[in-house]
Amino acid sequence: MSVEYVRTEDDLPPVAVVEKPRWTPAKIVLWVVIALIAAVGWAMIAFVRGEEMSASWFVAAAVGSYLIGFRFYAKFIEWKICRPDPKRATPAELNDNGRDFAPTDRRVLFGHHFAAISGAGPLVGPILAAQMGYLPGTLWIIVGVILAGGVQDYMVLFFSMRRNGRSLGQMTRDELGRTGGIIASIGIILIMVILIAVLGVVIINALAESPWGVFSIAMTIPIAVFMGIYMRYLRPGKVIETSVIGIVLLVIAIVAGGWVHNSPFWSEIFHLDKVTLAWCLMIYGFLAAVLPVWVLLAPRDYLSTFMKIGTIVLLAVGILIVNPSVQMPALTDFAFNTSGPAFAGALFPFLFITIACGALSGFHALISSGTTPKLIEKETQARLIGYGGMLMESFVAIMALVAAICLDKGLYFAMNAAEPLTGGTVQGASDFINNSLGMSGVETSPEILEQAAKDVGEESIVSRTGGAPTLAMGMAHILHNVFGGPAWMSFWYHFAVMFEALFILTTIDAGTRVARFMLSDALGNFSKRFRDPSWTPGAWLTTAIMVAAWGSILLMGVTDPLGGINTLFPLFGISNQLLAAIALAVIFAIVCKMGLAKWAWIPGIPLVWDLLVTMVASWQKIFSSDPKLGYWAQHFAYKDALAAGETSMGNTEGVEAMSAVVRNTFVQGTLSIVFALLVAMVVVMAVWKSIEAVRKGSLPTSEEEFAATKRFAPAGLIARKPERELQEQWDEHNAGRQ
Amino acid sequence: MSTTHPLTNIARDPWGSLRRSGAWLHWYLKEIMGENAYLHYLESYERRHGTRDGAMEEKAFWRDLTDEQDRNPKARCC
Repeated sequence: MSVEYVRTEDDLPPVAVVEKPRWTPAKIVLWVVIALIAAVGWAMIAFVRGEEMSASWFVAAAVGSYLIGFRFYAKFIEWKICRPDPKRATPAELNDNGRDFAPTDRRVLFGHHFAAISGAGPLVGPILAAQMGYLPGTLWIIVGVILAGGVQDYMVLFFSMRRNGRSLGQMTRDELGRTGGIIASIGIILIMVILIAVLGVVIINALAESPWGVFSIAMTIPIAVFMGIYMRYLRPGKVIETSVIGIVLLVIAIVAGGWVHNSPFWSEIFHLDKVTLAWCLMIYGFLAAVLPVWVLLAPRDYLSTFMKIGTIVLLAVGILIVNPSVQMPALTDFAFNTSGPAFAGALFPFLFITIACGALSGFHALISSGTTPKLIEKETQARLIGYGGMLMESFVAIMALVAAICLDKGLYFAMNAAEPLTGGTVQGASDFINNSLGMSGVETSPEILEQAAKDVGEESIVSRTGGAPTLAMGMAHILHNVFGGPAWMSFWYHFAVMFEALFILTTIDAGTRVARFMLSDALGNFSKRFRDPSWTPGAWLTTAIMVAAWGSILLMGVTDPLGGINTLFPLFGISNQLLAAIALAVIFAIVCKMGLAKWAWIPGIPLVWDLLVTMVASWQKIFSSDPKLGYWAQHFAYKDALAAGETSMGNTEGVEAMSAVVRNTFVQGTLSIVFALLVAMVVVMAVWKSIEAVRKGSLPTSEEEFAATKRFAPAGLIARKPERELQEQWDEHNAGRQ
Repeated sequence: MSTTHPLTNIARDPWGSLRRSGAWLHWYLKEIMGENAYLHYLESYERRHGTRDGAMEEKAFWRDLTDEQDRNPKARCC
């Protein structure tokens, strides 16, 4: 091992230590063992059939592959493209203001970044994709994160860090020109609206007609307001104390939900239908976006972070201890046909759309640019935070998948088949699964489904689509074995529903607020007053417009006669992956402009794959003649039926419901076209720039000037020995100055 | 400079190791939740001004922190 110390100023200790690692026998053995663990895990998942398979093989395959991806592929990207400079100061050091720019400990920033990128997404997609069996989802989550998701997050983070932490929209404008920037910004706002709306549908499906759930989620609002007042006036700065009080109140709210559920009077009050809940959510979203942050948003964010860490640890511990066995087969027929009950569409391209977060998620590009890069202490840490943070999210997705595939198959399909298929009754669901599901080896009975609902304190679990209730059911099945026994199943179910709701509400209110600022920024071009965020009429108007935008799609989703989730979720996935296409296209162009075209395949592989997936999916959604798949095919089929004077079609009864289908498919079809066109334009511009760059060898980029650093910090998660020694030198140096 | 293996250290002084890991976890939780924000603000202020005189009082700082978020919202992912 050769060690080289890097200095930027003579009177300072070295700012970095560069090690040229050498392969020692011990290291080789270690990596061979890791590779073997991954290989055995994969072999068990991919080839072993017909026996009880344990969930721990998924953990082995995932963790082994992640370590290899992080050590070898991410390192390769670091060497060939990013080339972090240990002498260079980061924006956090240069613009340190103790706020949005502040050098932050790498381990802490890893946690913050992870908390910001992961929410309900990685918990929902894998659950829906489980209808195709466990193999496709597992392959895509693990291979996808290594070759696509981690690459996007790391490179966006790195390039934004070299550009003073500028946002994706600004980087697009700087690198591709003004038009590209405007198109990308419009795309980003539209995509955010869709994301918020679909997450809203997910949470409403979990809460509708569930007095227990509605009560405990409703209680989070007074709890958050109490926490806000407590922190503002009574105990400023006592974040953990306040959060612990909040969590205790939250648990009480979950327990009290059980009493509400059992009381005829109270359960009547909190028994709300989907439309009412949608209106509640819109009112909530509006208030959360216009009220001062300290009242609702900040305390809810603390609660959400606390719960996020807690439940992920809980789920990991549960899976490792209980080690449940897998019920779902490796592949089901729904991987090859379009009649899956949870969502329509065959494996290609819809698996890659349904599982976005956890494998490749465009939304992360909005966090990896703008927020996190302003906090990094050292350029060398970007790999840990960007790529490593994404690996962590991928692991959450794997755990969610495990929770779903270890559920009884009959229960899984009863929960995830849309209401028109099951009629919403246990008898209907059981008939559907036993007779018309079209998958052998799956059966259930009304008694089993009734008992399953009773176990978790719900009136019914039939057609609880959207993924969140299934995850809650899976978690309840796993966790009650470790904590509390069967009597605690209903607690764990509602605990899981609660934290998913908390994540989603946090995304909705923060998203509405961010979207409101984007809109007022855009309107500021026409009337300067909109630029002032404290101008109340402007704030109210822009918030109202954004809430109306996602609210109308939300209402459309929850009243959709065809089930909502199965038609809207693909749109959610497509928009998220289209955002990834924008991010990857910008990275691709930057790599070419840097004169590194021969390494452009690194972002090129995920870009081409992502474009293929999203464009084929969009194409099918727009042009497919299969009404189960194509928005427009469905639109015209219902329109023609209405024109012919028919009053029912398929499972849709009545002229009103049929007109709703006509209207909804029109909106969904139009949105598909708009998204695909916007992204295609950005990609064409990026390719144009790249070709120009390749012709000229390279082009100037918007990278900031070099400035020398005056700080030291270790590069990896765990400080190495020379780094620890150097840290001691710095500690002495800093102590000597005081 | 000691070159003992971390595992040897744990075997030699198990309670001390436990206490240290507990202290580390407490520090980490505080950092992740943002409880140390005021501390970091003061450090940053000192780096920039060479002194802590003129920095915000703790109560004013926490107020300003949330009010700043009002003007400058951050997205949360799905």
